[in-house]
Amino acid sequence: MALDVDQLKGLMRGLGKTREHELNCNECLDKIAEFAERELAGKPVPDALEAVQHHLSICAECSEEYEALLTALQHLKED
Amino acid sequence: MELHEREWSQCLAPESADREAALGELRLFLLKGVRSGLSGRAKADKYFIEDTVQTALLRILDRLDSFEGRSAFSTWALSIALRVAYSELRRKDWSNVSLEQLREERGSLLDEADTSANPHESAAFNSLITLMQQLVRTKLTDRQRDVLLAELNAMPQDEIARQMSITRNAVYKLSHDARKALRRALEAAGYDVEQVREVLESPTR
Repeated sequence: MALDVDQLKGLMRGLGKTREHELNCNECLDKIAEFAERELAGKPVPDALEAVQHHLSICAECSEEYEALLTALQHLKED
Repeated sequence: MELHEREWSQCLAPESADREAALGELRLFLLKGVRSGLSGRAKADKYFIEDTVQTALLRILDRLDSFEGRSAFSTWALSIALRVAYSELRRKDWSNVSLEQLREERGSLLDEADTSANPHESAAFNSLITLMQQLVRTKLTDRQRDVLLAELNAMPQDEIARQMSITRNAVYKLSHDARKALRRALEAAGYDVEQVREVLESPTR
């Protein structure tokens, strides 16, 4: 399979964000509730949660789940 | 029974006399939350949501000891329920696509680069494609290549994990190790990853 342009771009975006140490999906899940509450409260991201933000920028699945969590929390708050 | 956030984990503990009532209340909360989080997903009908919440309750009880109180209990529980829901939706979406099928239809990452497929691209771009292809062939393991191939074809990690009979964490580690290996090799070959990325993203490339 020759990489096409879009695949190469995607791969390079991933390589550009790659760090020596990253959270995995379960570690991200452990912290995502706190991260979401801070975001909804408009609070800045503390150093301890910066790795969550980074993981969300790399992992499409965790990012999708996070967006759903924000949506749900907003709806529940409005009810 | 209406629980305050700090009471949830105590009431759900196995020895609690309020456990059944707490479970009932948590179930209702999760049904509402998961429904909101999945709004717009056609496959997420009420049966799907009920099954999801049932599975999520078991998962939450299993992990009760890991709740550290850094967020509201309800937010923590909902994050777990949404992971369960999305994992199941992805499984349904991708149940007809196998890694083997991807290899057959899209080719193996062990194939040689075919730059004649990009005649309108610059020589520099085609060199980069050839180099990346070579690094993928020589710097990655078979399992890392499998994960990379699947990710390049947008297969979700849940599904890659299911098909490779490993956990989603293990898929992430294979992907992370592959990215680290490729980045190091690219830099050793004299490329700056950020510069390459900017050139690729540039509209005037």
